[in-house]
Amino acid sequence: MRAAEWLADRAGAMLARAVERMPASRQEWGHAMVAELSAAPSGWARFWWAVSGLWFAVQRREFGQQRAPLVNGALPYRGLRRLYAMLGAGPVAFWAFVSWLQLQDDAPDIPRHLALMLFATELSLVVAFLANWWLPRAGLVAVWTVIPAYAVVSAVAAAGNDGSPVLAALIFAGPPLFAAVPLVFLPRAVGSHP
Amino acid sequence: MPRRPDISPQTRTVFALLAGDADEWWYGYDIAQRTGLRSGTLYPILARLADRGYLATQWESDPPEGRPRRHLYRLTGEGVTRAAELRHLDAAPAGPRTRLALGGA
Repeated sequence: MRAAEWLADRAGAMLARAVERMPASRQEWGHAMVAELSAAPSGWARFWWAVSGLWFAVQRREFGQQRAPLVNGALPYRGLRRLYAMLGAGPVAFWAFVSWLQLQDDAPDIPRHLALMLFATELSLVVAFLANWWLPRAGLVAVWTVIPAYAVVSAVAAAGNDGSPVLAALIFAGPPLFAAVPLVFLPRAVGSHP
Repeated sequence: MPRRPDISPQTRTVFALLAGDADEWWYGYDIAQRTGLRSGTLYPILARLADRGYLATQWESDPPEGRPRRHLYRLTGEGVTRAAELRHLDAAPAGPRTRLALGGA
């Protein structure tokens, strides 16, 4: 199966899941988007349809009313949000420390400007993850903006060092990505009032 | 006097498309294709138009086998009127503020 089709399937499944969590008054629109998935040609067109729709669906969730048994006990979600934020920030903080050491080094492995860019994106990512503790919406936007930037900078740095850009992007941006994805599906209101 | 247009260019585009064939029932992907809007932009617009009574919606009654039912949209009478109003405003000459911003006399 081609990567685009695989991604489109995953995004479509995420969209369908997110739609189930939309407020009842808005679910009609979510179901409409899901129904149109099959109209989009398979591959990137379908992927972007699902991802863009996911954004709409996620903006209109009301977890507190839709998933009463678990969410009404706000503590589990608040704890989960913080756990994922720490899981995302942890590895990046470690690499930020490594990048900082590189910047102190007289003969660093990568050019100084790349080390500086890496350090800046890593620091931004740590801040973005930690922002989820208090400002879930702002933190999420930052996470989704900075992660791609981190992947790109890592790839460029690896390419400049005769390494594998794809592998570098996966190794560096992969862990924070895995922590960021669940954050999207956690209720924001709970996290914003610790 | 027509109301001041307080809607986005994207919403105007959707209005213009749907008003182009107001008797037709449109579906989301087709509208997206023709307007160039992504689903995350289009559906909030459609939902808002429906909330304001400009858009009638219904689920497809008899979809072909193997395809899910589609959500269909058509401008209401009020929507057609609003679309015409917007078209009229778009056709009107630019106001002094626009001319100033563009550097015209």
